[in-house]
Amino acid sequence: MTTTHIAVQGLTHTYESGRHALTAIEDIDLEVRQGAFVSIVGPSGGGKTTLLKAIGGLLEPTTGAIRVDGTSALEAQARKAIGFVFQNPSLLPWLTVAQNILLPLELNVNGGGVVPEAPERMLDAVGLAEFRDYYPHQLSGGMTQRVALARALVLDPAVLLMDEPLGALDEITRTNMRYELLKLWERSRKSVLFVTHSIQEAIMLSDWVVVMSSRPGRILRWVHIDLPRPRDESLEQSAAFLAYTREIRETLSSGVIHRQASIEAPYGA
Amino acid sequence: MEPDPDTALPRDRPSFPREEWRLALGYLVPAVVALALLAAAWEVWVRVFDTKVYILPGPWLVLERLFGDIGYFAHHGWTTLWEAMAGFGLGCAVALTGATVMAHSRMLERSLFPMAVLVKVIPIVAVAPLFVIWFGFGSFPKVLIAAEITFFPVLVNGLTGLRSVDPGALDFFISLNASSREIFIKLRVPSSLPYLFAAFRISIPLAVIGAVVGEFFTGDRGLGAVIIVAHNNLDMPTLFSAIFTLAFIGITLTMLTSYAEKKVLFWHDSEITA
Repeated sequence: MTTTHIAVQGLTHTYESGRHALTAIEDIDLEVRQGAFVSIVGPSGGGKTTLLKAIGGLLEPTTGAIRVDGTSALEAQARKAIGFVFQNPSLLPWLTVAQNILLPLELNVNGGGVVPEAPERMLDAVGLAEFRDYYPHQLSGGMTQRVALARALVLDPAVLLMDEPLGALDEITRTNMRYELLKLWERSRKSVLFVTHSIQEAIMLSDWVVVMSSRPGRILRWVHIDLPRPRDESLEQSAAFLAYTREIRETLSSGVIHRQASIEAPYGA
Repeated sequence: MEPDPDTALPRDRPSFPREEWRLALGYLVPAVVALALLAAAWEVWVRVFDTKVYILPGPWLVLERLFGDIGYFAHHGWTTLWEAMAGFGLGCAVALTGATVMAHSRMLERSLFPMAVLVKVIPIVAVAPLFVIWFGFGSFPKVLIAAEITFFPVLVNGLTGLRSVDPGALDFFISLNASSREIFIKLRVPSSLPYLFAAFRISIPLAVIGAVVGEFFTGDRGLGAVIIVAHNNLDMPTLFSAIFTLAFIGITLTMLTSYAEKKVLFWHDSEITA
């Protein structure tokens, strides 16, 4: 039996600033089952980051319920059960690669219940073993993002939240990193919620793609990506891949909520 | 995963000691040559126009006076340096405590910051005589004046620095449920260091000024006292010797600050792109 690692119900968030109120996301229902890779695609300014921050306990939503790994978002945070990767890697520039990766072990030491992954294995997994004593400013953009990924994975969190982790990279590095991320995930099978602008990236990585509208962000459609794993570049030209691309693109441009946008639909279908 | 060799090249410069020496000499030689030319022009001017010694002594005469009695100037220079550094330390301690408190509470900032501004806007020469009356002729009033003049730049930059944290890094700390103490020590304090060093570069020379101003009013020891006594006697070689000593102290402190900054802030953009 599969368990649900992230469950979101009726989530709405409105930013208030003075007399202006901006509804970033509206009535979001979402579910990520254990070991599933779910991507959210949508236009920028569509509240995707807001949704991720709410799930990660960085922001208290206006209304709605969130369960992460069986508890509230804040409790999951206190247990250090959430791994976060942001668009900007935000490494601490005064710490080496190895020290940055170990930082989650040093913070909130009473978080408990967490068996740390061996940092050496973590460095190996992201291919940075020989760069362990380098400082972030000595690394390329792709490498800093790998360090950020290792830092998020070091505590072996139940869920991994990624906010456009490849968004700041150049096209070539981005494509390479996409496949490295895929390989890494296929080994660990974490429950992932992944935010991206790139339709191709979403299809290539995910089991499910959630298509969101622009402001206020609503879920337009769930698309089940039924492509075989392990996946590689050759899939990009396959008929199925192109069909998914078309389907998602059409949903985005029409902006119409698909009748199968409900939470039961993806897993029931 | 394989690190891609094209993007994996470290950006730091090679650090062969020999290279560093060549680089240091490259900076030092032009500065020394320019200074020597200026001194030569000064010497020529004094000799050609036969300037009176009590108006402007030539640099050679000043150096003769300075090195003829080097122990005297070293002794008073040491006093001034000690007072300035003690004042700098005291000023920093108060300023950093204030910055820490204010960084934690906007309310405390609103009540305390205006007082800090008040301390800053009152000219230091206006309160120096007062300190001498209150605290006597020892070193303490000079330390206090140096502390007061040091205080404000460190407070303002410390406060700005503690608040200037990468929002992404802050989110990361929060996502791990780090305590505010952990956030302060492991994130805010290191983030504030570039701002603090900028303040130190301003405050350290100011502390020397503060100590000298304090010595003007008490006239028993320190280079400020030497200057006042020499001035009263129209003893320009001694006065200039004291100025040279102060310049030497200032340059040494500035260089030490730069060196410490390079070592501590090796990770900061200001050092990487320098």
